[in-house]
Amino acid sequence: MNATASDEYFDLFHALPDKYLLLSPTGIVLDLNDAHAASSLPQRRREEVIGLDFFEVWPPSSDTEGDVVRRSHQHVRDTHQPDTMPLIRYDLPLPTGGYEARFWQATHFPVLTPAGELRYILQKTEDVTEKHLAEVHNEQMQRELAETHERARFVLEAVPAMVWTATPDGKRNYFNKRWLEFTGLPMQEQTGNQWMASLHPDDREKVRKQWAEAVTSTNIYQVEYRLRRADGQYRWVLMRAVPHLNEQGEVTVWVGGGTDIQDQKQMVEELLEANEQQAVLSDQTYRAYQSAEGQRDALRTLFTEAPAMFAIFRGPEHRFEFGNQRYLALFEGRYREGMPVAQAVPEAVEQGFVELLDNVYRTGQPVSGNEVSLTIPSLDGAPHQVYLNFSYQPFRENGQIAGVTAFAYDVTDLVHARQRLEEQRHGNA
Amino acid sequence: MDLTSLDFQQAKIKQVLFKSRLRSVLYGVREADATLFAVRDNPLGQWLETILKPKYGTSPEVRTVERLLQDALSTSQTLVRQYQRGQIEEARQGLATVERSTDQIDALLLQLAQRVTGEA
Repeated sequence: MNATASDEYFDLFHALPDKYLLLSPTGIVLDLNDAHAASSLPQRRREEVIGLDFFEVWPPSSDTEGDVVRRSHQHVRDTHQPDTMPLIRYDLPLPTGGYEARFWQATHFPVLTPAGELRYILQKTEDVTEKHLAEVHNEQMQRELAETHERARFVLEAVPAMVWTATPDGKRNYFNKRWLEFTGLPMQEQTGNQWMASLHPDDREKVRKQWAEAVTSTNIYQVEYRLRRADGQYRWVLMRAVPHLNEQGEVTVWVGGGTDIQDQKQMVEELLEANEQQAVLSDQTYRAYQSAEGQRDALRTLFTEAPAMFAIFRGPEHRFEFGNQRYLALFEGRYREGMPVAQAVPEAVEQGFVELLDNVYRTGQPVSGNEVSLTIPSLDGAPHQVYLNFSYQPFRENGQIAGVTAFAYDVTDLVHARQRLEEQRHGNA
Repeated sequence: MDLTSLDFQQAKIKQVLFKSRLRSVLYGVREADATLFAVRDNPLGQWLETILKPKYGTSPEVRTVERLLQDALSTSQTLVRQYQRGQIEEARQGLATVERSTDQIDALLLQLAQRVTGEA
């Protein structure tokens, strides 16, 4: 090769688009092309570095960096085989001081003499800083994405509900642990449409239809059905699912979830039954009350207007509770409600009537008497005597004697008539 | 016969029964039938008609109670339709609206009861 041709080759070498550096077998810089110089010698000229040791021109920023390059040179020397270095960070000095982070992918090729000896070490270098940083960034994004997925998955597993997801065409592709535990079946036996096998046969068709409608319309899916639990019992569940839409409005995933509402349903049913019974009972009570009130009114009228004397005394002191018109008239209004007999009519004590009341109250045995004389001091002073046929009857409440009812009718006229008759007989005799 | 506290207790029980029937429809325990929403078939509506109105039909409370009951019934009908359309949760949340009307009815009947029976 003549000198001109050699120069042309050097020019060609300098103009090559990739970055090349030519070293002697011992690592002395023999030449580097323009592209290499532009990125590796930002502040120096090529002529300044030719003849210098590689490490003098590009001092490593750490021992590790230097070792990687040294090992690669040595590999080429030893084996005459190309060696691609692992990606290295080889920072370049900045004009302002300090270093700029750069990442390099470099391969050392052996250039041999015809005799097979090493003539040059040719370094082809690629500045992969941008690519590398993009990869690092991408890896970080992937990691963050994975973390997001992991977190989402954790949330799905942790929520106290049965959760599932489905593909846009409605095939179930994930069930959380709670669902799997509830149904007692492994995931692979439930994906796609297999989950429907766990539904109560009576609900299956309805659910299949509603799910198909939701998938077609992308409306929220909401349905109640009976789901077979691991123990074979069907339990009512309420399921709800929403589609996730992308920017184009297309469904990317369906997320569904639900809970066992069997107890809730049962409670509503029991409450309804209890309330219905209560309403029936309350109607009965109301009618009974109305009828009792009517009867009470009728009896009161009867007692009040009866042509006999009638009174009710309550408790051991025989407190006056009720007396009809004739009874009250006999005692000239001395009775007040709640007043003991002994206080209202002290004469009744003297004449032994209170003792009789005591006996009836204590023993529960009724007593009666015919034409019994009772002297009542009149309010105007003159006592008058009456004859009564009477009976004292105990009355009971809740099985206990609560008081005494007094029933009497005035036979004074009868007694007087008989007395007059007897007097006439005596007179005649 | 004058109204007693027993009469007003009846009204309360009938109101609870109505709410319970509505709830049972919205929880899929019973099927809805038209009588659930008709004033003349409603237990409280019947009580108003036969017990309260003959005596106190002109009192302002009674007229308001009638209106509130009508509101509660039409809301109920809306909720049952929602439930039947598959808007289950929305229908159940709507029970709160019915509850508001029935709470007001309770308060008005209590007020009337206190005035009528003289009981606190």
